[in-house]
Amino acid sequence: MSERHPYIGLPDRQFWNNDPGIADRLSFDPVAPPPFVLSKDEPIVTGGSCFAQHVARYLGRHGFNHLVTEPAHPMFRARFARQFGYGLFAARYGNIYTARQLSQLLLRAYGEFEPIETCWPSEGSRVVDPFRPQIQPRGFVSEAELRADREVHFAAIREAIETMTTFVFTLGLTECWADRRDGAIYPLAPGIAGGNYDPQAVAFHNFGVEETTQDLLSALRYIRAKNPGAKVILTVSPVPLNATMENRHVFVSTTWSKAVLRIAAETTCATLDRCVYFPSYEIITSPHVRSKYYGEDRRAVTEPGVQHVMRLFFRHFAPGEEAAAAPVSRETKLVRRHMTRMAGIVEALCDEEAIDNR
Amino acid sequence: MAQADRRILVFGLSHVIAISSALQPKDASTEVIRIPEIRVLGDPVATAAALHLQSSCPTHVFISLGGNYHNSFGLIENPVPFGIGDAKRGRIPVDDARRFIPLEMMTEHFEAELEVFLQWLAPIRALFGAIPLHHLCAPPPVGDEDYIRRHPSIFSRRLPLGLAPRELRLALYRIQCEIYRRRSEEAGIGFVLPPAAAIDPEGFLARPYRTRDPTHGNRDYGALVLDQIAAVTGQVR
Repeated sequence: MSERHPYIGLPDRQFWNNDPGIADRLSFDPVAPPPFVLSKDEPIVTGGSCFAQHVARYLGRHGFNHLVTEPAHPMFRARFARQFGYGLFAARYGNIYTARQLSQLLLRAYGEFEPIETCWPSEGSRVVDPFRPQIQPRGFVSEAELRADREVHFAAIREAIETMTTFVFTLGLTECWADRRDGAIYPLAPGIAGGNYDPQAVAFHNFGVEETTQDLLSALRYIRAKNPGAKVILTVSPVPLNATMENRHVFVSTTWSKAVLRIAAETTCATLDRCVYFPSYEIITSPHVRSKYYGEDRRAVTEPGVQHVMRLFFRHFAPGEEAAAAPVSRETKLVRRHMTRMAGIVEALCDEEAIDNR
Repeated sequence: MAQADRRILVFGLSHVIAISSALQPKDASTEVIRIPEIRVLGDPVATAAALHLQSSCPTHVFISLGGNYHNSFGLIENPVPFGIGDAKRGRIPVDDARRFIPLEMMTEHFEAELEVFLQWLAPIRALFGAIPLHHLCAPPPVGDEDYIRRHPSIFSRRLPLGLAPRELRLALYRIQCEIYRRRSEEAGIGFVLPPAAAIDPEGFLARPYRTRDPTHGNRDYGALVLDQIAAVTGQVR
């Protein structure tokens, strides 16, 4: 006997009124069963917009192997190192806002794209990296130092791509500034954090659905060419745009950009195997959570919001894995012990009376 | 100011010993006091005040604080060998195997670690009012690795770890000097560089001015510093 209509027997999650999140915000769980799970040992690389930093932070905090291939020297405390962009992601690439930026980063790391702009002037004689202008509080002391750092950085990116089992990428923006000469995408318009704005040299661009989808597929296929087994988790940042170059309200631009990113993510997941969408955007913006997860500025995601997102992330991608604090590495212990002993020696030396005249 | 009216006070940690060992009868107007233990530095303003009274109101004051700190970082190889950014060469040393530390990061960390000494510059300046006050830069490191191995002093037990590359040691020393120079000037304190005659062509402490440890200058070095002090104060030695 056939069903009366095609909706009979479908899961509760496909019906709005059946969602427990309507009554209880914390019960809201729109995550579909993923095609794979994560174990604590497998190396996971994160990247993307500012929201991606939360994902990285929670992975590390819960004892997952958040792969960092460009670590700060262990003599530095983590909080200080983060000020210089260390430990936020696998390598010191800073925020990656658009799919095109991701694609170009990969090409640059493997020497397949060398942008014309390599260095922007900053305060005094300092310079910044046009592709991560805020990675250091006051930039680099010279282009020579920036080049040396970039070599280390690109090697770290290659190691991350080739070593990881899973790539978690958070799509953030569609708006960008592109160099008219070679199409290089800058994460920030020149003049905001280094560089000089020249409308003849750079142009505003707002990526559409087709471009974003193709850029995302291109980047992920490039990764798969280097690491065929890499799993991919895509998510869309729920953080609204800070500013728009489009002549319209910034919230209108936000909904447009997020729609583009959402469709691009969905299309990509439908195209590639072992590529799944995780609904961070939906969790934070859903009516079920009653706008509780945005701060006073209605833009920054609050810690309870991040907790809700990551609780669901671990529930679905790592069921049964107990949360545990990441242990202090052996390397860190060795260095800290060494520095303490050396400081003690120097202190004792300063107390010594033995100064010989010859 | 008449020669006879000059009263010079030099105080600080171990680097002032070279100066005191070089004092001669003609330096009667110069008093060098070593603060015996770093622990006393817990309140160097009080220490300086006591010294001020002790030395009967100096007309010129020279201080030397925390000059050996660069050796904590630089003398013995770190378990995770590192290199630092450099404006000309990109990095020092030029060795990809060493963990890269941007120069800004190293400098900021260094300054935070030196804050235990730097925080007292302004209070000491205030204590001595209008009296000319200068900070004496520590001597540069010893570049000769064989010399260090023959005279390791209390670093001997750490020697098996190896010495850090000499160019790195010099770069860290220069970071320290620049921090002290900048913070001294911010506090209204003059800054006296090491005597040029004591520095070899590569920037290390020249052989005749070393003592039997890897970090201090000897009596001849101290004599050069006394000449610098005389030049700064207009004294005739």
